[in-house]
Amino acid sequence: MLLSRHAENAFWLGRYTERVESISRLLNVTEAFAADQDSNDAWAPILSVFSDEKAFAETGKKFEAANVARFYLTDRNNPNSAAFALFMAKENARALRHLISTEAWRQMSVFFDLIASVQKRRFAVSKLSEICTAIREGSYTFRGVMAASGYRDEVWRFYELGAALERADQTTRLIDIKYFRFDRDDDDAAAPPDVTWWNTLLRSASGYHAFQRRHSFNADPEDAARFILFDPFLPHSVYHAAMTGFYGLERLERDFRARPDAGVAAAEEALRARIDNPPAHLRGRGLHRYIDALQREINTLANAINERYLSPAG
Amino acid sequence: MPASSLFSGYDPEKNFCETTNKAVGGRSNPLAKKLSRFSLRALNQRNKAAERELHNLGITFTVYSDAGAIDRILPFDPLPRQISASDWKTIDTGCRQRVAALNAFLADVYGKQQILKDGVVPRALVTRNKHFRKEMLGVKLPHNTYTHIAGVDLIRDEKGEFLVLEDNCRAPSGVSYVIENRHLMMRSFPDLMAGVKIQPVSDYGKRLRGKLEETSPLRVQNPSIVLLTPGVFNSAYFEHVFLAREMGVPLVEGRDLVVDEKDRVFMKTISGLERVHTIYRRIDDDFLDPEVYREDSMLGTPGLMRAYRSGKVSIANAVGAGVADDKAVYAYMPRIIDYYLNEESILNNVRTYICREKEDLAYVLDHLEELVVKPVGESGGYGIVVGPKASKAEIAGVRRAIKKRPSNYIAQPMINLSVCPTLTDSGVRPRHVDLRPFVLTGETSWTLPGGLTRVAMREGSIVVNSSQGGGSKDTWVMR
Repeated sequence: MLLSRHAENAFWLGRYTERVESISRLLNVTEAFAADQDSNDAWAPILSVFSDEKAFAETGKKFEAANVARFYLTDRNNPNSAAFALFMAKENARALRHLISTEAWRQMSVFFDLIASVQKRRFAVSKLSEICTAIREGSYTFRGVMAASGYRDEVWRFYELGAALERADQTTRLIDIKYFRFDRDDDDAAAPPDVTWWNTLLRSASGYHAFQRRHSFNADPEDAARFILFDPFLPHSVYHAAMTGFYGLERLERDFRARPDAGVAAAEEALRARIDNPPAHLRGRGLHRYIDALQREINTLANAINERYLSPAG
Repeated sequence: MPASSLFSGYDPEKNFCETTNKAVGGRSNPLAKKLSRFSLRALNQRNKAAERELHNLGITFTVYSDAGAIDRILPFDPLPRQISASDWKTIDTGCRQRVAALNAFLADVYGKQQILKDGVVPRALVTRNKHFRKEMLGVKLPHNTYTHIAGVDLIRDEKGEFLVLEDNCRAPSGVSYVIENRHLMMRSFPDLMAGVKIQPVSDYGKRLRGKLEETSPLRVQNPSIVLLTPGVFNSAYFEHVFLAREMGVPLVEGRDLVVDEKDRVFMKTISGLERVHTIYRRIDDDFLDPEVYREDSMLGTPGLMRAYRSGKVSIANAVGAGVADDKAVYAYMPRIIDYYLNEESILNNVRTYICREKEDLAYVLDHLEELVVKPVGESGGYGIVVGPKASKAEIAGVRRAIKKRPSNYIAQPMINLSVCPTLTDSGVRPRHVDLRPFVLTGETSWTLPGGLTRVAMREGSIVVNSSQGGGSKDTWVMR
């Protein structure tokens, strides 16, 4: 039977692996959007999405594209950076080494060394896209090796559960990069994101072409938002990620007699209800508030899982 | 040895060479013949690829610093060391004999203490030893097995005789390298191994699990076994991972275990508490149980000694086993073997001078420049002074230290360890090696064919410890 501590390592291996990848997506979106602008303004939202304005100021670095990009890619002191997430992923994998395949650990080492080599040199912004692609590929490969070689035991379930919750959370952040400002009452009249912006977002969620197939005609930004949030077949949609998580909990109970407690069940129910009842219009302040609520439910579920499985009393 | 550019410039001088000084199986050495087909360049290339693979596979020890975690490999030498079937027979029976005597000795010193009463081993040497655990007095262990996993460090002198340098009765490490080195050789040098009849090593995990099951608390069917590690920061963490994986048992830390008021041990799982019967621990006695030993230990589990003493859990190796592998007790091993087994030792000790004995002390102080001086109760090659290679200041320093606390030291003549052809920057050169066979004991003993061959990678060095820059070789016991 799986130790609670190892369940925790598996859960966070899933979360951090997914986080490495999503940070590279956020940077891609930011960079793509910045390319259309003359100023550095496009690099402000990512700091807001992570509430990192203060943390970035404390680095003493000038606010400009290269510094923000490095802050999120290679700064090991930033807990929201890809470098930090990958370090944590590797340390969690290290604690799990006897329970994951040797191929998976091997790929983690190779992936880690790749990012370490990026860290050694100061990269230019023009290289950002290339580096993000490399990170995504490293992550894809790791997850592929896990999927192809992982024994589908409790370790696998917790790994998937962590990855699913992280993905749901990160997808909401991806959207919020444009909607966070609806938090500010004075900014209500700001122009809504246009079709170009949503296309960039769809691409970075690996959903652009699928979206074209589903909505070939007259698609508008609300359709794009609905697609990214609720499409049942898009692996990055909040809906798909949440269902994957629920399924994992069910299998834990069915296959390993690891029954969720009342806290987990309640949190699961709340998230399900939130997904089933979106606001009538997926735009503006309404969308932002809805995303906020989704993030809270996801967080509550993660905490409940932690209470029940990962940090036992005694 | 066929003429080959690979071996040009190879000269073992006065040392015994494991490859050239003997004919394996009575014929010319097939390994040397096969090796001669390789160019130095090809060998180097394959070795580099092999080492990279070791790194990627994480067959490493980890060094933590402020800069983060650095994974280092144990330097690997691709030229294997061979042991003939007849040499192996001597080593195998000799090691098992030794372990039988060590276990009998431990059962006695924690039982009736007959050997002390008979004056064969000085009482103070045992009861005042820092590894002697009075909590173990009167505790009965299944099959009287104290050292379930023993490593017997062997060296080979100029004449080719195998001698015991040291016994390791606590948690000898290195067995993971034995098995991983073999896997690596099979992947990287299949052509070198083709058609060579070598005894396999891959069932070590199964054997170990079997021995641990034999020594589980009595009457338990299918005992639940765990491997207790200090955690990812321990330099031998890879080995703990390896052994847990090979045995198919949970790799636990002290904080994963609890002992209840009925002295039963449990582990914390996602389905609640689950009973544990046998613990293969890779942490020292001192850290095992903060209720009994170091209060500040974060690595152990409170109450473990209660559970152990009441026979609710087995611990391998036994608490207090370290008293038998002390360098001071080592000197008495031939007498200990004779005392319990009524046999002559099959493997001889290196001649050892016991500084606590007056005559020996006088000899040691007179011959410091020729002797290797070792502090007792240390391991990992620390504090050793090699007389013939030491500076005047080092000799003077160790002389003062011995005079101050003679009982803290033993000394041995300098043995020219045997050498093996080894890949170096200047081609294939002789480098000194030792051998650590692993003996597993439950109801009976079994020796893993071969063991860890450690090689001193620096020219002329005889210190093979990995903590001092040693590497390792695959070790072939011929069938």
